[in-house]
Amino acid sequence: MPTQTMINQGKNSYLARLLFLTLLFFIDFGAIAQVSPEARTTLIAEIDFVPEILEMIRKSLSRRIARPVSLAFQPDGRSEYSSRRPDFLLIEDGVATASLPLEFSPTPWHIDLVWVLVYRNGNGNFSTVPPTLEEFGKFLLQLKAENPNVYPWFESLYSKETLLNFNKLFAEPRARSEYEKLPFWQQPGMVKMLYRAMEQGLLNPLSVEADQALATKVFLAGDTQCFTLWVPLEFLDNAWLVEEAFGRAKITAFPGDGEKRFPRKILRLWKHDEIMVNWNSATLVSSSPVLIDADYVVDRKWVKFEAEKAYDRLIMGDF
Amino acid sequence: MNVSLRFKVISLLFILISSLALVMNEKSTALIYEKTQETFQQRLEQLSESVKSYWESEKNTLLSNAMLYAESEKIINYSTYSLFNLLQQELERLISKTGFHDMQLVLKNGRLISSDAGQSREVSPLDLKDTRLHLAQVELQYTSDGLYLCAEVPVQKMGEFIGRLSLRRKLDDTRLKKMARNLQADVSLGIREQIVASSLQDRARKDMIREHFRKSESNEAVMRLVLNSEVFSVGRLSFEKTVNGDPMAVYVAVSQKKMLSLVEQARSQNLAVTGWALLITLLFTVVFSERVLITRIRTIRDGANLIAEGDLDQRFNIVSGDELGDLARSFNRMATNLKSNRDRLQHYIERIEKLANYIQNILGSLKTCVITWNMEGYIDTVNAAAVMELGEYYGDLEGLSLRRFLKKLKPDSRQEMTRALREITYSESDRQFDIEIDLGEHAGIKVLQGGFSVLRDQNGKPYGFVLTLSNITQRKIIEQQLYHADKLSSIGQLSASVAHEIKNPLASIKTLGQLLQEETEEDDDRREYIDVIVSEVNRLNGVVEQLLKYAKPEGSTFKEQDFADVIKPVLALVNHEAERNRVKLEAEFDPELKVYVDAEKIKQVFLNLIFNGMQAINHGGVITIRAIKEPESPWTAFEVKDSGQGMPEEVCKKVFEPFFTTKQRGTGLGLAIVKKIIDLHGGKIEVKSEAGKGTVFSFYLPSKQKG
Repeated sequence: MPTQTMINQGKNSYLARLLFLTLLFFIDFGAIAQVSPEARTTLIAEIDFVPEILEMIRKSLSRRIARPVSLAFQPDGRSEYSSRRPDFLLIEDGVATASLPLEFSPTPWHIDLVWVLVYRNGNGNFSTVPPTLEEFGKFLLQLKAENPNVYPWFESLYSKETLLNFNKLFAEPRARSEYEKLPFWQQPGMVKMLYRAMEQGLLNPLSVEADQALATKVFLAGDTQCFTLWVPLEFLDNAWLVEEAFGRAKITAFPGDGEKRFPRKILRLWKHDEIMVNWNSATLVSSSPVLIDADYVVDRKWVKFEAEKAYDRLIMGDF
Repeated sequence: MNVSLRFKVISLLFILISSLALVMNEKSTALIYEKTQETFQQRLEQLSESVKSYWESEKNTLLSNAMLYAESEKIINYSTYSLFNLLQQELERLISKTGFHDMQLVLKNGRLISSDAGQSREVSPLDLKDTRLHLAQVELQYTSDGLYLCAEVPVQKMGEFIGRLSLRRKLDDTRLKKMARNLQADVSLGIREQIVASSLQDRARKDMIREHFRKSESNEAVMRLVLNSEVFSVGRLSFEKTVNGDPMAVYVAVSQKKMLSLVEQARSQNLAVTGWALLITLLFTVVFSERVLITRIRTIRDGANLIAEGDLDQRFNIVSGDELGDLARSFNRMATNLKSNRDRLQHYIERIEKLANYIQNILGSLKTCVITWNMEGYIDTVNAAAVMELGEYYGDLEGLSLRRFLKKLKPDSRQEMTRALREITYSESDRQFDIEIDLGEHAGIKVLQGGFSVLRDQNGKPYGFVLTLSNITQRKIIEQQLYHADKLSSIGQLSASVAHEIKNPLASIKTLGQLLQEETEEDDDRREYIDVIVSEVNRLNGVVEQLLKYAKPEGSTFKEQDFADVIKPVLALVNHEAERNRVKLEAEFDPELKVYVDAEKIKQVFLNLIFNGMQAINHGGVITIRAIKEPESPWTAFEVKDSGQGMPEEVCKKVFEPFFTTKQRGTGLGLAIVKKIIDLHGGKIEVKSEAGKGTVFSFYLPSKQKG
């Protein structure tokens, strides 16, 4: 479970970026005819954001408001902020805002996060993007064949959000049988799929103990070729952003039916009444993905009551 | 050159203390050095133990860390789940900043993951049957790139062997420098003939390499090596071997320079402390000497100077009981004694001065010459009378030798004086003698009568002579005069007797002569003879008359009368004779002048003197008669002055003697009679004459005769 400490540790690696953003204070952006100070922003959400995701969000927000942004993350969903009064609040859609200070007002602006599969091609390639689950499976097999000692796929299955996302995509069990003979992509339900993937040596068993941070770390270290992650919506059409974040990698919707189905979370922007902002309203995504919006209440309920069961089933293999 | 006492004291103290300090410093330095060497030896031994302990500690630390890492969840998980990159990163992260060289994990499948990404590779799969895989060990590895201490431990998960983790620490110079810092000694490691690591640098390191090579076969445990021109004491240990069996030599080198520098430092510090101590001592000495010694000595000195200058009332108030106090008290006693002695001396001096004064007064008042002679024959003292009598003759009498004194005397006097001195010396008989001192033609002869006596000290030992001389010149003159007077008196008496006896025969001769003249014709040849007889008889009668006048004690009739009444008849009487001789007579006197004389006799005096004057004048001249009476004087002065040919001095001396004449014809009694008359009046006559200029007869008569 990502902790503030882990996030703060991740922040250390972003000092250069923050510094760069700080330097932006002294650059005339033109759109705003004066040097804009850094916009202090607090992110209030229940997602276990890893530093990499936070950095993506920060950059995304910075691009959106054309100002340098410093981002503080409040993971417990509380709407209070204990640090210095921020200029902006990024609040996960669904988080209660009744207790927010009166000087903050909602804006029409928001940053969307989508849950994607981040992957490296290696010597293989998907014929379609996103690939089907089968294609994904074969892709993984190919990678495994190339490097038998390496698990090509890594997940943060310890993260309830990840389980939630998998659950959303693969909640409906498909009627399958002969578990042991079928590959994971033919397994019914999320749990068996994942379990079988582990048995096949395609999904790193450590995924069961891994949180988003570790999964990201494993991918960035090159010890896996695929993992899932929340990214800002704009990443879908911006390979540069993907490369900036993940190096030579791509993102796609998690393989399923071949459709671009992306679970989405909305982070709504609230601003302090004294703050003026020009929102960059350029079109974020030209493609028209299928976005599976999170139902905050439902999701919270699943996370609270069902996630552990799903995890236990994952451990046991859902047998 | 005078050097102050304080300077001497301070210099002496400084020299003593500094010498002592230097000696002590050298001794202490030598002792320190000796002890240092012993300590050094002990230290080497301790260092050897320390090295071993340090080595063990290194190994234990390495092993502990390896085991710790091997138990790392991440390492285990990453290893288990093939997250090799993360594993490598984790290995790298773990050893970063730890000082370990590298960490490797060899998985059982033969995959080697190293903290050094470049070292990760595939190796032979591990033989799982090898029980050593489960052992933890530390070994020394000597490879081409250095010497490593390597700890190997098994990595297990839930008892299942995953792989072996090896953690290495390179034993390089840096590590040894750290060891050297801890040990306070240089450490070098040698394998075979190589020094693989050393805390020594540059030249010292090279020297160490050379020495290691030279002594690689030697078993010396302690050596004395020169490294980079410094002397090191080196201990050699060999307690470890590499995995290949090569023994590792551990050299522990302690620079004696440091020790020596410490010794030198100690010495310098000693010197500095000594210097400061000296300085402080000097300051204290200066202050102390000034306050306690010099000031007091100066006080005593000043006081002594005052005492020396005569202030015997000076006393010191130093009451301390030390030597200076004793000195001050001694000075006080001395001053008291001096004062007492001075007072006594002063008293004695005053008495002596009084006595001397008294004696001097006595001697000075004495008319007798007192001359003292020392035994060397020189005059010591003379009194005023001696100076007066003999000073003009001898000059400065004091210090005059007897020889020179005698030399100036007449032979007779010299003989007399010598004889007297001889007699007093040998027989101590006091012989009186007279000496005559010729003062010259104008001063005459001085006659002194004297005698010698012996000066003796308290013990009777003679230490000189005293010569006393009395001027008896007047007495001699008086005696002569008396003799002359007596002689004259005798002559006068004799002359009177003769004259008286001659007078009658002359009367007879004259009568008969006159008879013959009457009986003889004038043309008779015998008449001339008879005339001569008669003339000569008359002359003889005149002489007899003169002689009788001279000898005859005639009675005198004195009465006060006008001098004019006395002199005018005389002038009338001689006027004719004066005109005939072309002599002018001048009389100068107060017409009111009264004289108390026997007129007839005084007239005789003037007659004789005027006639003598006229006889002295050859061809015209002046005879002046004066009479002067000073108001308060009891004398009336008379003077008869002629402008004649004058008389020599020797004639003047005898001119009043009877029968003394310079003329062919004359009795020689005229001036004798004049003197006699003057004597009868109680007066005095004297003559002054100068050849060619005339003669002055001056006589003084009392204004009133005594009864």
